[in-house]
Amino acid sequence: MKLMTITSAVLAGSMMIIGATSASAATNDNINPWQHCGIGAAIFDKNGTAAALSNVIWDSGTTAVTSATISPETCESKEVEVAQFVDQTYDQLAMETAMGEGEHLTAALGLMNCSREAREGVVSQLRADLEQASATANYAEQAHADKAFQYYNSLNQAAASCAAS
Amino acid sequence: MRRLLVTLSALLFLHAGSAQAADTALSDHSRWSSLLHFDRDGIFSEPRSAVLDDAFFLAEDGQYDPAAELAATLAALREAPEEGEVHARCRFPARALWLSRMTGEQWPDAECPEWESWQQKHAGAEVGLMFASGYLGNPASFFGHLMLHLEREDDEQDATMSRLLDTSLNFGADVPEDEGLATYMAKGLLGGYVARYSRAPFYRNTALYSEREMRDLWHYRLSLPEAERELLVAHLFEVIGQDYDYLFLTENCASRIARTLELVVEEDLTPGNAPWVAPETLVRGLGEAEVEGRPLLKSTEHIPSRRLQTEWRYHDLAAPEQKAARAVWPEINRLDLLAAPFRQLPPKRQATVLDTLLGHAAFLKQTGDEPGLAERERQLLQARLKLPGGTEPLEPGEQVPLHKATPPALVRVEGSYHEALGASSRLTLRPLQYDLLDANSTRMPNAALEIGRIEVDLGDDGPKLNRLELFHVTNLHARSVPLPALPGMAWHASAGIERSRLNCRDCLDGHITLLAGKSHRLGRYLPFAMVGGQFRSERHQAGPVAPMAQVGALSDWSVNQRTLLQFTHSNSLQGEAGRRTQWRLQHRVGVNNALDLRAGVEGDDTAHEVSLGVSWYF
Repeated sequence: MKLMTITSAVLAGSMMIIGATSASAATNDNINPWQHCGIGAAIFDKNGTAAALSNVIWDSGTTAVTSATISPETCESKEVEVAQFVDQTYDQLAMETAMGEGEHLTAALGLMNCSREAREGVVSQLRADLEQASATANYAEQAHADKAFQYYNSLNQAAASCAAS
Repeated sequence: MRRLLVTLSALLFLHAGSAQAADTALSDHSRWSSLLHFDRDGIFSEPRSAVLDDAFFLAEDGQYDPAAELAATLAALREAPEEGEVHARCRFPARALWLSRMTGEQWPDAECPEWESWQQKHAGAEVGLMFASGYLGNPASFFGHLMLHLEREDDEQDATMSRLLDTSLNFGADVPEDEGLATYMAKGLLGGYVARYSRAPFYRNTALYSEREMRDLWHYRLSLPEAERELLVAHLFEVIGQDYDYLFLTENCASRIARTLELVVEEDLTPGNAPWVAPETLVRGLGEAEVEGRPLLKSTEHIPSRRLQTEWRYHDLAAPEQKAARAVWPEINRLDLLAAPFRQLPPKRQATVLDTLLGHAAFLKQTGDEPGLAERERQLLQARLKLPGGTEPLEPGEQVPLHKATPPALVRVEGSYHEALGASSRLTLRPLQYDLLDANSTRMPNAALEIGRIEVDLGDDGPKLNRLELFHVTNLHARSVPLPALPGMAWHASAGIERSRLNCRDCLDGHITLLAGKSHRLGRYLPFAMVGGQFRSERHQAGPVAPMAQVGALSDWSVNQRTLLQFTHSNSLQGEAGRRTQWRLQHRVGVNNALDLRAGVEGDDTAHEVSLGVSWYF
């Protein structure tokens, strides 16, 4: 698990650099929520108690690398809220993106401040990106966090105009 | 009424200028008790707050003395804020609000960044409850789970979006990850854990309950006056992260949420004298309660699990589309997107079939690790992405909310005729929860969960125990759609005392029975077969261990009629005294939510018996 964690983090980091054009344009800084904010581990209240609570079995995650150089405030940004949502609900988001609609997709677009009018175009772009990302058999073997990060970048790019409006 | 009288007396004393009397009235006020969670009392212990954290109290003995805590709180609220210290009105905004309303006093201004951040997110939120249906994968979840739910007030957003991004407040015990089952149960029942409210976005709970554990959720929206909502939401800020007592039966999610809501509801939300508080107790309490003369419960909304969504989607397909779905995915490890029945459909219908199969793939992912499933899901995604977007709206099936479902406790009176022992009456008492005949989809379809069921025969020779079941759990684990699935296991576990033969009244023996096997739905019939064994006492039978096999069928004739047929054979390989074959046929006719009629016939190697009875559920 540890090896996987580091590998995935490195992968995610590399992907961040590759996808910097899209992600950084929308996030306005160099934060990779997966790498810097421990997404995939457990981010909760400031009291930090929820992780071990009974009936709360969150994803143990594969990319939990928390950097001491990143302040807690940084990880409370809107970008991280979106990233957490994408990470936690990626399977539903991918399915609903393929279907073209669904409550998780609607929520993601809402988090990106996309108006109803803009949503059709954004979903179209998300579907195209997902079709490309899942075109090869490698997709099936990809780590959850890597798929989620890819989707996050795609969402940031597709919804860039929503955030600007 | 008591709350009103105490409020009036406090106001009267305040008006008359009797500060001491007013403080006494306030500290006796039920709202003050609720604000302190001062609800723990016992025969051998003095009354105290359920909160264990010292930081929750401003007085040294505040956990035990509401009057001292009131005095300390008033003093702290009246103090000017000091730099570097968090003012009492920031730590306890609900206390500050209620005391200000009661006394008319205004507290000094203070900067409260955390409280303001909370308000920014939750001010004006609608308060409700989220009930997660029972789950037989974990004993602690057999009876379901309850969470508080804060619904965002956001008219501009879609309702569905608001819901996923709403906030859940989950009250749960802090259990170490590597805790063994025996320790877990012992500490859960006897004490040793602390519990806390934690906060998380609701989508984390849908991911866990709806997508992973395939449990339906029910949103119970409450109708609270604005001032009460304001007080309750402020109080929730105070209690997040505080350590509480935890006992699985009495100090659990349902009891703590009830006590929290009673801050603004002047009724006992978990009435009754049962030695447990189940989520269902509170849900039923909500259905009965009123606030300011209006029903507390505003509405209920069913949030189907992934399994149920897929089931609905499949049953909504026309026959050729169902055929196409089965042709595309004929076996668990084979996908055929070129199957003729599928290719013949127009693109829009192909999309609907693929939507169903994608849902099924999501369901399968949670039921086991099947090599190649990820690749088949990828192929489905690819195929679906090549078709136009847009999906058919879900056509929900009929679902009865828990508070309107058949109640869990029952009393049954039966008349029976035994070919050897003659006629007698039988009284059955069952405090919890449902059997295979009265189970329903609101709780757990095709399953039984009974605790403490006792059957007593009332004959000429006085009352005789016929059966005592300490617990009885059966999960037939039926597939809901005829699409390929990973192997699922039907299972049964029970322990208790029962007659070792049917032709005697006093031949009682104890047993622990464990069975596992398969079921397979054929239309309205659900046949099953299980094998396992029985550990048992030997007062009236031979062999402490007996291998056992059971076959049977559960038949759904209509919503209100169900039949169960079972054959069971056990053999301890110690001759006739260790061998027994039993069969039983039972039919249930539900009359209404609280009554049913049951007819049964059963037999074994020694005798036969017929019975007819009426059950009352409460």
